[in-house]
Amino acid sequence: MAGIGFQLQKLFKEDYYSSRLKAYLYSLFVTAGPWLIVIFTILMLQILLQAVPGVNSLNKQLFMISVSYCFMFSQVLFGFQQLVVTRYTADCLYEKKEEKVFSSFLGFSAVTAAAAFILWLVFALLSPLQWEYKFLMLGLFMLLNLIWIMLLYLSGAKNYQSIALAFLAGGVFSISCMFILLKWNPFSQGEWTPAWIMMGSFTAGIAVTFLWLVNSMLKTFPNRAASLPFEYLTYFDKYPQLAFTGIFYNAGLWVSNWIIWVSGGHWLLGTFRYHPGYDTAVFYAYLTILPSYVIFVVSIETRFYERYRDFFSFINDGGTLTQIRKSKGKMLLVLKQEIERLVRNQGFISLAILFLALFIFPLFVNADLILGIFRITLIGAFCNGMTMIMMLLLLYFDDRVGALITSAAFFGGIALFTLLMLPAGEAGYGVGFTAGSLLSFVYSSFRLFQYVSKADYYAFCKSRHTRIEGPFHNLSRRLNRLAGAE
Amino acid sequence: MRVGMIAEGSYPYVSGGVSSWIHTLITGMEDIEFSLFTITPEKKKESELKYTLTKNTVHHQNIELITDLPVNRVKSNLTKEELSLLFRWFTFQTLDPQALLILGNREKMGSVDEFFESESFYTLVQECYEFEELYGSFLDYMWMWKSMYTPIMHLLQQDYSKVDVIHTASTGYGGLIGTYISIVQNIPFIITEHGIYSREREEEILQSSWIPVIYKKRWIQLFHHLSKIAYEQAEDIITLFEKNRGYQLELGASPEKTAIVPNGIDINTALTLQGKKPVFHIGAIVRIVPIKDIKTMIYAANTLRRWGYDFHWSILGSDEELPEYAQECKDLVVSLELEQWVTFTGKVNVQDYLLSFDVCVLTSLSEGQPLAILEGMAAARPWVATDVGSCRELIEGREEDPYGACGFVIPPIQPEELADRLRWFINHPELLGRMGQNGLNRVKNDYLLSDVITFYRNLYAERGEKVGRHRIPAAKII
Repeated sequence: MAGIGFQLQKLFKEDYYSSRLKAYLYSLFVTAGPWLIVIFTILMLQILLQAVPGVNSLNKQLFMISVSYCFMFSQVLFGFQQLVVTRYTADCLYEKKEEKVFSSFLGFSAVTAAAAFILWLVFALLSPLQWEYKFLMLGLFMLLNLIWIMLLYLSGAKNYQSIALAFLAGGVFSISCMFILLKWNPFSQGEWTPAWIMMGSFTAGIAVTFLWLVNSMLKTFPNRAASLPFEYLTYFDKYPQLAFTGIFYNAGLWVSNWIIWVSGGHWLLGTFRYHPGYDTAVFYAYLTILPSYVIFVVSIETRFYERYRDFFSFINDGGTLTQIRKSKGKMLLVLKQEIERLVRNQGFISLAILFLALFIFPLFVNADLILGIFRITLIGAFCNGMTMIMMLLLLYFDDRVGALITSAAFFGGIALFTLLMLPAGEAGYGVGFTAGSLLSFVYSSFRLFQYVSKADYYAFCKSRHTRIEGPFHNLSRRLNRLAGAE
Repeated sequence: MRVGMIAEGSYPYVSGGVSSWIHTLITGMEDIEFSLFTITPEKKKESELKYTLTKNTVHHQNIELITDLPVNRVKSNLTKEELSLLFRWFTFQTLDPQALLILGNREKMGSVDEFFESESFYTLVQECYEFEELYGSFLDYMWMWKSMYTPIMHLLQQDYSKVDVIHTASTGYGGLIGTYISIVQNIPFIITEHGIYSREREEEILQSSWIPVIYKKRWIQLFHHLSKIAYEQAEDIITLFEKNRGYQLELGASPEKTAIVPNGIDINTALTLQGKKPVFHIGAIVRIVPIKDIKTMIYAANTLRRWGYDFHWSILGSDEELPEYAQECKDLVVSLELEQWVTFTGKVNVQDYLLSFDVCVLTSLSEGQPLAILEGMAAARPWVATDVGSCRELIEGREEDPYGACGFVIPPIQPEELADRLRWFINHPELLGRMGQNGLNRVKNDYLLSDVITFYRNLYAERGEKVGRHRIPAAKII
């Protein structure tokens, strides 16, 4: 992540309005990236679908839910490896072994694809849906998984433009495809269900994005030696905390939905559990914290990053103690200022929306349940976004334990409070989500400032022992041998 | 009676010098048991032993300066007072032996790694950096600190077997654990220094390239500090000759503790005469290494030949230690066309050759108290040697010496001067015997091995009895 700020600063220094806008757009794509893009596409689709006649709500629901499931589970799957791989590639670059980065991409993709297939197989065997539809879902699921992976490598290589273009192209393609096919249905009546057509169009659009990204991957990595693609797995032995941080955070985003689906949700076609009110409310709540991502990238990753870099260069490149202490003071000050600003700006936006939701929306919207949940989850989403940012900052300082505790508190808190609030029924929906997010936000802020105020101590004295053997070392060796790379 | 003998980087893994001194001492006292503590840079194998341990060496403990991490990790837990004492110790402001007890206490300090990861360590190192007003790279300072105190803590955190008297052959790390054992076990501590450890380290540090220049002074201070602590704790500070005693006094040894006990040699009555040359025979008893400055001998031989003298020069000693250097010397002999005059015998029994020499030569750049000179003197051979270590003392005698010189002392790296002195001997053959006799007389009176052994045996006994294991510890009396 630390590299993004650099690129952005260049953009901000050119003082035109257009490049400033460009910077904000990039920030949005990179940080919130995958998540927002898909949500945005779905939102567009929903609006479009209203303009298309002859698609019943069951078809719409099936389509929306299958996309959501693919999206949700691919993120959880990706989350398990994301931080570990990021660390691995960062280390490769630091050690000037760039050639290993692309190999790890291949290994990462292979492992993810295998896991995705197994997950899908379980799903497919249990679901009564048509196999044609299930295969389409497999296609989408795989593509999404691989896209997240490429995003990690491309944003690491600061190739933001191609990311943005890839998603734009894919989005335009899937929406127009869907619109055309549904409006002037060329197929004979009843051959394909509208859900299938929508799913097919969406997947085709995602495939466009995928191919676009593959193309830019190949351009970004001209030297593509495939030596030891599975070596990255050894990092699961070295930094197990990172794997757990990723899985806890990504599962934490969804765990309240899961619990509510099980206890109060509905079945869709004997396949999907969902809860229309809760899901919609949380979805909209998440939309309210979009500005945080932009503010984070722009303010923290630019102004803060500069101080951060100074501090560590004094530590590593022979600064005196006075220099180290001064730069730490400056860094802490900027960190405090920027976090305050972030909380203030996002807080203002969230409060404004909350105000609207309390007093103005009820005049127009006639869904008390959704509005009620939205009001409370809005606050939760705020804490949720802050938690993510604190966690990223903790990882900036290599406080892996702090990040792990934060994400565990995030997941555990939300799960626990949601379970505790179940007896209250629908009135309690969202309270658990908000309480859990608040807990992790409070903890992570304390941890962050406590940790950073001793950043020099940790940089100099923290143990750097990592495991040099373990089950993942064996697995890595075996898979590499299997791939004929050893 | 059990004596603990500390050898740093020497006995029983290196031959010659201090090692052979320790071996001779232990061999000479069959009635006393020895515990041998050897400090080595890294792990040593049985096959690397250069000496077979004697029967009375009842215990041999190897302590490596760098070892694998201990499995059980102990958290560091120090009080304010302890930290402030450590601060003063680390900044060389105090010699208080209490600091060693803290450093050696695993429960308090934590294991070496745990200590270096603790916040107390970080606070300490910052305080010291500020106190010393060094203003260099703090990272370098930190590294220096860790590399300075890792071996020290590691050595102090070992368990040492019980002995009645502890005797070290050097200050430095050897002196450090000697001091520590002496305090912990409440037993007397004896130091015998052949070379002056802190001076030797000083030279090494000044020449080293891995220490940043601004931190060299601190490294040197550390070894002076360790020497001072050892001198403070020791009951006896012994050295081989007067010059070194002077250095010890300079470094803080109190005069009443110091004593001079030179090396000793047996008078061998069964010397044989072999390899007698029909011409004037010059002998050198040296290993073929640069510090012995073999090339000066070769140039001197060349000069002598140019002046038209007939002679033969035998260089006795192993050439295996540094084969490249040995080859250089041999090539030099060939290129000067001296093959008929100079021969390298390789490692031979010196006793077989001694009597065939008319005069012996030593051209070292640095020496302590060379046994070679004593061997030559014991065989009544006259000498030409460089003025290093105690060579002058051996050849000319100490103050008020009644026996007279047994040869000449010349400055190092002076082939002309050496050739000139040898020419004098060639021209005055009648004086060879008299000078040789002077040397023999001096050895008989001042440098007998049996005297050295008796001295140390008595010292062990006296110290052991007076303050040894069975006395009532001071703490109990109070």
